[in-house]
Order: sequence, then C-alpha cells, then structure tokens
Amino acid sequence: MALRLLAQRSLARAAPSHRLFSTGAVVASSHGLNRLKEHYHNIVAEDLMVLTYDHTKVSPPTLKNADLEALLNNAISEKVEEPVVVAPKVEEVRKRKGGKPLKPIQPLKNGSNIPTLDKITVHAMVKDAIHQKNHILSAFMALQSITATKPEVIFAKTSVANWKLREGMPIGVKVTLRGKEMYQFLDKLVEIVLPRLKEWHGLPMTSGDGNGNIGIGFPPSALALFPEIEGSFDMYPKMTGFDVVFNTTANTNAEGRLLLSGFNVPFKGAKTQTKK
Amino acid sequence: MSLFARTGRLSLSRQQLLRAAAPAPVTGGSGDQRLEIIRRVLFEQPTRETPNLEGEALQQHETIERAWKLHQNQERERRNRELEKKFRKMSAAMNELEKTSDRLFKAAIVKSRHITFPREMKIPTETPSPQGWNHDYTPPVEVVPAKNS
Repeated sequence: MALRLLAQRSLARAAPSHRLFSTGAVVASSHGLNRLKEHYHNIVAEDLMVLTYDHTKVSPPTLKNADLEALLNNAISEKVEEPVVVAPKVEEVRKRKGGKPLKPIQPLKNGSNIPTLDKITVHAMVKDAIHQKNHILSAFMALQSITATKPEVIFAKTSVANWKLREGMPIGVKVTLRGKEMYQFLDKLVEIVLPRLKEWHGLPMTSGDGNGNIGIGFPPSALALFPEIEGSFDMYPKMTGFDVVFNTTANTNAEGRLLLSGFNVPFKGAKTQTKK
Repeated sequence: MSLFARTGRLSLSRQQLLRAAAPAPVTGGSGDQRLEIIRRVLFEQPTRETPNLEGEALQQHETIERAWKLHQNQERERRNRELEKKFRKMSAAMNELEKTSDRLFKAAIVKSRHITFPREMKIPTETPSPQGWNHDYTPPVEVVPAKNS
C-alpha cells in the first residue's frame, strides 16, 4: 500500500499533470468599478429581455455570415425594376386621435434592443435670476458639485411679460449626463437621496412621457441631501429645486418603469415579495 | 460608493462647526461674500496643464488606450452575442410551445403593465455591510387611506 503511494507520488513529481498558472483567456474584468453598469449587464439586462419579450413582434434573425458573392450574383442576375412611386392609401397613412403628434413606431424585438439608460438630464430653473443674475451662480455650483460635470446656462428663448422675463436672459442651468457620470449620479440618487426624502413613497405607477422617458421633480430641500452639498450647505446662498429626467431607450412607459425599478428606483404600489 | 457616502456625510457636530464658521448671510445680493467665493472657484481656477507626452511614452499611452478600447469592444460583442443567442432560443421555445399546448402558450404571453423589479432587490457591492440585511423583515401592510367626501 505504502509502496503504491510512493510510486504515485514519484510519478506525479516526474510529470506534473497541470501547471500552476493558466494562460487561458483573460478573466472577465469589471467595467472599471462602475457598480450600476455592472449590475445592469450582469443581472438586469437578461431579465429585461425576458420580461419585455413580445412573441408577436420578434424580428427575423440577421444573417451571421452573409454569402456576399451569392447575394451579389443574385442581385445582378435579376431584372432591376424601376421603383414605381404610388401615393399611400388612406388606410396606410398613420393618424392619431385628436390630431396629436405621431408616436414613433416600435421596432421589432431582438437581443440587441433591450431597454437601457441613455442619458440623465438634471435641470434647474432659477426664477430669482430674473431680478438678480447672481442667483444663478448658486444653482450652477450646486449642479456642478452633485453631478461632477460643468453645467450649461440656459437662456430664455421667448419673452414673458407676466414674469418680467425677456428673451436672452439667463434663467436656468442644465447638465446632460451619459456613461460613467450618469451611473454614478444615479447611484448617489438611489442610495442616498431618495431614501431620505420626507413623505415620498416612490414614483407613481403611471409616470412616463409615453415613450419610456421618466422624470422626477425635486424640492429645494432635496438638494441638501446630496453628500457633496450636505457638508458645505451654508456656502450656498440659495437652494433650488431641480428636475431629473431619465432618458431610456425603452419604447413604452411600462418598459421604462421596469428598467428604472431594476436600478432600485422606488415605484408606488409596486408589489413587494411576501415572506412565506 | 457606500464608502464615499459615509465620508461625504459629516457628523452633526462637524456640521454645526461649519455652520458657525460660515460667513453670515448678507441679504442684498451683490454684497454676499459667498457668491464671490463661488465665482472665484468656478471661473478663476488656473487651467490644469495636460501632460505633454512624446516619443516612447506617447506610444505606450496610445497602445494602452487602444488595448482598452479593444477589450471593451470585445466585451460588448460577447455580451450582445450571448443575449442574441438567448433571445433566439426563447423565441424558438415559444414557437414550440405554440404547437404543443394552446393553453400554456396563452398563459405564457400574458403581460402586466405594472410589473417592476422587487423593491427588496439589492444591487451588489464589493464591500457589503455585515449588518446590511434584515432577515426578519416583513413588508409593511399597505394601508389605503379612506377617501374624504
């Protein structure tokens, strides 16, 4: 018995069956410490694909390796017909009740058009800036510190006599966030700001603009909840309310809400799992 | 992120200290010192010099940038391929189900407009709190407020 063991050992020493290190494919790395983006790609995307699946709207599979030569020969051999321009029939002209602007046609589903977050717009209109332009500075600084991006100043497009607003006056600030900054801002919003809002139970289940984009308005008090502002609250002469618009690539409100709830944005009336 | 939040949130005493140290708010707009500070911080900061790379250093930098882009591209393509494959399988399974059982197929295509991810879903972190999960949690019973009439 002992002999056999010894023999095995010596065999193992002579010809190692495996190497101590592997030279295989690189380990799938992170996205550069972007927590929400990783969460989306690892968990949410697949679930969204299943949950938004519609069997009546499946796009045909694309050609993986198109035989270009055969396609070309086919195209050359066939007679090229002159396209005949025919006015569309009345039934074919799309219309919406009440003459409202048309909504975009929903594309067919496939694996590559799963709803995703496109951009977040943070916008603040400062009414006091009408009387005193200085007031816009505070909002500018606040937005810059919470989003880590330089905002752009918005000038009035039209004059409004009732508000004493004239065309060309600076009236607001806006930040458009994409990519890394967008996910970082959303993370801050979801983990720190939204849970500490007083008397707010979540977005309504009917929110959305009809095409899958969702917006929230925040009171001036919410600005102080951001960790960047909280520490130097007294250095801001004026707190402003602001609104945040989530632009998604979803096509319906339901899909947009589903995507945002995947990022832990609370929705009112959403079902919670009952404990068994 | 959570670490950042923790450091970003100041203790109460520190907040009070800051509040005491902050200059008294001067009403009357242009005289406010804080606006002057904000203006100086925003617009009078010296522009940061970008490092000027030359020769081999530049080549190294560009190689790393290209490699990172290539890696990201490959990752994205891999993800897309995987999703597309799963989607096609799902579609095929639905076609099969349509042929097999009418009843099950009808149940499979039912959809709700009010569907959301569960609120309890936690986004994973690399540094989770040891006391972060309340195992005895029971969701609160929703109380529908009586309508005033």
